[in-house]
Amino acid sequence: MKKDKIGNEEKMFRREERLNLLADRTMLPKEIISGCCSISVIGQNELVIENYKSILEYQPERVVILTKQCRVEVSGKHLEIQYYAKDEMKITGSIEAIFYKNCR
Amino acid sequence: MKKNVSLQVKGSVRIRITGSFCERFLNLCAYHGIALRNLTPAPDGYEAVVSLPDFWKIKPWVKKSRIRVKVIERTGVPFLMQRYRNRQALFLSMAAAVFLLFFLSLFIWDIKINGNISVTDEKIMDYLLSEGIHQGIWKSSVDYKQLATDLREHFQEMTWVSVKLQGTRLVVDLQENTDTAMREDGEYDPSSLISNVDGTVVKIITRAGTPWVKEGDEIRKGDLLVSGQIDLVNDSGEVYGHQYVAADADIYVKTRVSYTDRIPLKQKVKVYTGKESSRHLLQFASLRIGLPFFLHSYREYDCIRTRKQLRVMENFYLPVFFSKITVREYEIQEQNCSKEQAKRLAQRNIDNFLQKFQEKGVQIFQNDVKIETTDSMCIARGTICIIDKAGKRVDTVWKDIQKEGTQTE
Repeated sequence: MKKDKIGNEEKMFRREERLNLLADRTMLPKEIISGCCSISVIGQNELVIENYKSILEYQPERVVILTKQCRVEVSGKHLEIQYYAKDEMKITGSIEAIFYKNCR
Repeated sequence: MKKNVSLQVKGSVRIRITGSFCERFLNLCAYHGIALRNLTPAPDGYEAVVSLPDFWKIKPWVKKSRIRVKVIERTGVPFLMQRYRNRQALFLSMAAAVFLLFFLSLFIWDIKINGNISVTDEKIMDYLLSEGIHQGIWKSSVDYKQLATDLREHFQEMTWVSVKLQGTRLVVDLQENTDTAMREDGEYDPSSLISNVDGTVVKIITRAGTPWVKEGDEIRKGDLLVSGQIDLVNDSGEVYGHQYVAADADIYVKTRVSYTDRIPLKQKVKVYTGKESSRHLLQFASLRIGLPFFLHSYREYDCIRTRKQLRVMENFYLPVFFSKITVREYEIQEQNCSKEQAKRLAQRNIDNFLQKFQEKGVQIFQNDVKIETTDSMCIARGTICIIDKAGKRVDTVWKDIQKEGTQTE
């Protein structure tokens, strides 16, 4: 069972490598080719995330967002979602940490 | 900003979402393209702002996620209209205002001229008036391309003219060539330099052409200084032809400028009494409303008028003017000036006169101005010797070419 999991991880890693190479060759953005999320942070108070699936949890101290590859956890104080649309989400507040939690 | 305006126009509601599967509802909304703004956690759920058209779409997702939605705040134009639906006069006046703004935007209410140096604004405005272009004409009645061409043809000094419409403002941008002999590429046609002053040549540096004067020569106005014709000489010294160039030289000429300044010892001076009154005017086309109705009338007064035109935006001028007329009373008093004071004043005038020359880069060689005082007047009189650049470009060479052409024929 454990061996299978290691094998899967290696498979996924190789797939990502291939997609990155493809993105480099085709000069296309990596987030479109590999489907990974794109996060831009401005200072400590503003974060814009694109390419996500859904919100899993939202509290003033913690926002957990599910993306295609992992969970992104934004922790801080007075976190507020300025807008939440299909493609883009903007979080404001005092951001203290951003965690990537692999859910494969 | 743009989003906020559209939200205000469309109308928006602040909703409170309560229930067990609030996150599911949020995700469903996002998935179906319903944007949630200012999403904040609230007791037992969340609060968010949704636009009114989106609000009508969320019902299926509310049912699906088994939550409760409560409207807690309504903002925007649709709700305002709903609230004031019985006040028809308000909506009528709003519509009338919008229509009036639209109607007024069909006319030209201001004319702006940029880039003119030698041709004054008044001259251009007079020409525009003669062409039938003035404040208050229909925008569509002006052929801008033709007007630019006409302006260029009428004023020879203009090398480039652009006429455009910005809002309700007609903007005439132009470029002038102050040196009319200069071509558009910055070069001159074959030409000569003649004198524009009387005097003595102090220094001459010729770069192109044949000099006709030398240092120390006395010259008069109109004398040829540098000819644009260069004789071509063969080995035996005979002239076998001519080359025509644009004469170019620095010619410094010593000239005399006469100076006279009379300062009467008894002078009439304006003394302001300190009394003043002002009137504010609101002008719409030919209709004028002023407050107060009448101005205080003085025997002798100065009148200062400032006028401002109403505009909605930078280039959206309207035919509404605000004016302020200020009237200041004065008395004419005779003041006796002592001879010493008059002398000082005369000297100051001379110094200012000389300083203006120096600012232009003219060298002052000699100053023979003397100040004399009589019983009633102080007179500063004399001549000032200056060294200034001379030379005026003329197309005399072309005549020579034509003459030569007829001879050879």
